[in-house]
Amino acid sequence: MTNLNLTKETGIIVQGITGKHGSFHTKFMKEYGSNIVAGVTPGKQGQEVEGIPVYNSVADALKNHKAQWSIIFVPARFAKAAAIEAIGANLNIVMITEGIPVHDSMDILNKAKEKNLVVLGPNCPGFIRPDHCKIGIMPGHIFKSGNVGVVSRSGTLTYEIINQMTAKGIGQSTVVGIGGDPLIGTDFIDALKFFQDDPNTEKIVLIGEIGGDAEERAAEFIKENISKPVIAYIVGRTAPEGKKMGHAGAIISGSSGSAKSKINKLREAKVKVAKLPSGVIELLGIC
Amino acid sequence: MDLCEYEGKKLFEKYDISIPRSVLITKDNLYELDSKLKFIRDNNVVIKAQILTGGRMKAGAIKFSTKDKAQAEINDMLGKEFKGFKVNQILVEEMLSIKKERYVALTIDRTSKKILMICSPDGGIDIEELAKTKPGSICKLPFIEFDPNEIHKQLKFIECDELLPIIRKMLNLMRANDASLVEINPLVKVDDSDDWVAADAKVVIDDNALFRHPNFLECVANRSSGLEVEAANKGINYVELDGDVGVIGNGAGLVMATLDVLKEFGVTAANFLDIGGGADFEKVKSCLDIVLKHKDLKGLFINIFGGITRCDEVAKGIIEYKKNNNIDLPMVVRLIGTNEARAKELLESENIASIDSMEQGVEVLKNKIYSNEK
Repeated sequence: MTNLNLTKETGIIVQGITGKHGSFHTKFMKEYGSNIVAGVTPGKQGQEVEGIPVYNSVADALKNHKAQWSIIFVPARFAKAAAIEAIGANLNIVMITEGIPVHDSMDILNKAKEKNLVVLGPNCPGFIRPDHCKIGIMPGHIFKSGNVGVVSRSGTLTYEIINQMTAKGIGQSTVVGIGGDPLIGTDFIDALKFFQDDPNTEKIVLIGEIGGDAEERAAEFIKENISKPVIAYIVGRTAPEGKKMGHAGAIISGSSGSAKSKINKLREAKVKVAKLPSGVIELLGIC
Repeated sequence: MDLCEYEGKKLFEKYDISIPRSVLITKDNLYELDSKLKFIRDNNVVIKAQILTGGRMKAGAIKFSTKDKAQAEINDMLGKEFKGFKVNQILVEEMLSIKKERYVALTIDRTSKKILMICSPDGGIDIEELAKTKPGSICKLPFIEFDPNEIHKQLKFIECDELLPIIRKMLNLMRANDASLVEINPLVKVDDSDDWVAADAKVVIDDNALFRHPNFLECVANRSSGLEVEAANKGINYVELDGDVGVIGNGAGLVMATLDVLKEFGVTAANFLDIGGGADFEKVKSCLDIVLKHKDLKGLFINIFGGITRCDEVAKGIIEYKKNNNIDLPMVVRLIGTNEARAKELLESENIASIDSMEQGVEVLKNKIYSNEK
């Protein structure tokens, strides 16, 4: 099973900790209560960021600290080297970086698979277990602890829906942002498996988008394997064919990848599909 | 980035994949046509518009002709539009006498997360069409490392020994150039030769990898679609749409949701614009600049949910832009998430109202547009 279980003890390394985004989000992860043990930026060993010691390499950091995860903020052109370094040190990784060449992603994912490690992303917001730990860039204050597991291809759209859930008093068990690239590590099916087995999760929300067939495959999987209620929202109903809508993975080509095909497949699997973001909250209230 | 056929074939030549003899004609070298055509030995030629769309044959953008009639055909085709694409370049090729046609492609498979080889003995047909009508004739093999034995097993029904070296060359091309697709359809065997020739070329270069391949930047510059290119140069994801409400948002998913919500309320977006993650106020100004260049806008909706993006930076960008430019159309701003309190303070001090809910925001904008029209 893909282990997406977060606790207050989960040890985390930040690669690219001295950069603008790395340092900014280290502060917020630490404030949220995440156990950030060390940072890595080549050439910056001996510095501190938010009181976290910085090392030249992941291996150097692990000499003094224990960690299970690394979160990577390293710019796209250096991200592959950073990821391979973390995988080499047996860490699961969350890749925040966007714009990673697809061949680099492919190499990273295959290396991680060889070692049975979990990759979240690239181009993802990370994941969070409210009130316990977050490894990611999501604004922590909008989340609330509860029993709904959420998995999504999109970052900000997830915040949108979470914000509405929390406002209505509906809390979340774990929220997983799998990322919007065509090639990603953890996918809908991995997250669904985790939620099915996770004792803290009672209902599941799946937020998908146009492009590819991940939602269709998730629907097939739900039919056979998921007994907990699933609610879905598919964004991009009004997107025209052949135009890449921001995410490299979000493009309708020919008959495949359209919102309609995804919604139909999900409905066949007895998933309730919302028409608008606010519809997710309505459906959660009645199931 | 999709390469035109002739750009793909130039790459094929570099990787020792055979291509037909050809000349590229534009309006600037049209006067040299006669001397250029001497490069093609045969009298029969194919005239192919270099446009980035499939189904060129059906659309009439590929014509069979002869050298003496080529001039007239080219004159007719240059500047003409097919499926919305204007023809600026034409490839004139020798006509191949085809003995056999095959389909060979390498792409990246989202499901297996590997390189996917796709082959079919039925070359020359649209592969999506073939997948529907004759799925049994398509063979697919995902792989990480090139394994001739494995490919042998898969390709048993076609000329494996002959195709293997070509597939290896395609793989070299793909890896070295960060291509996400290398497709030859058809790959043809010609009469009186043992050679396989790429009659067409479809190559897609990964946009994210262009930093490693400055040689393709020239191809990027040749792609003309005004604002989209201008935006891309500034690192902004912008897609022009048919409606009349300008949209700026962060994150592809949220922007797509914004478009869906607008439509639900009966207004349509003039564009998709994803400002990206962690935008500063200068980038916000660039976005406003691009969206407001769109003619006949009736309204503007800014929808930001800050994670890595800081709302106060966005607010600063809007305020600064407004100081130097007149935004005289109904506008609704919605900024929540990271640093939202500071952002709201900034907007309030400039008398710009911000609305907390996306759906409410769209409704307010719709009403503003209606009262503006009255």
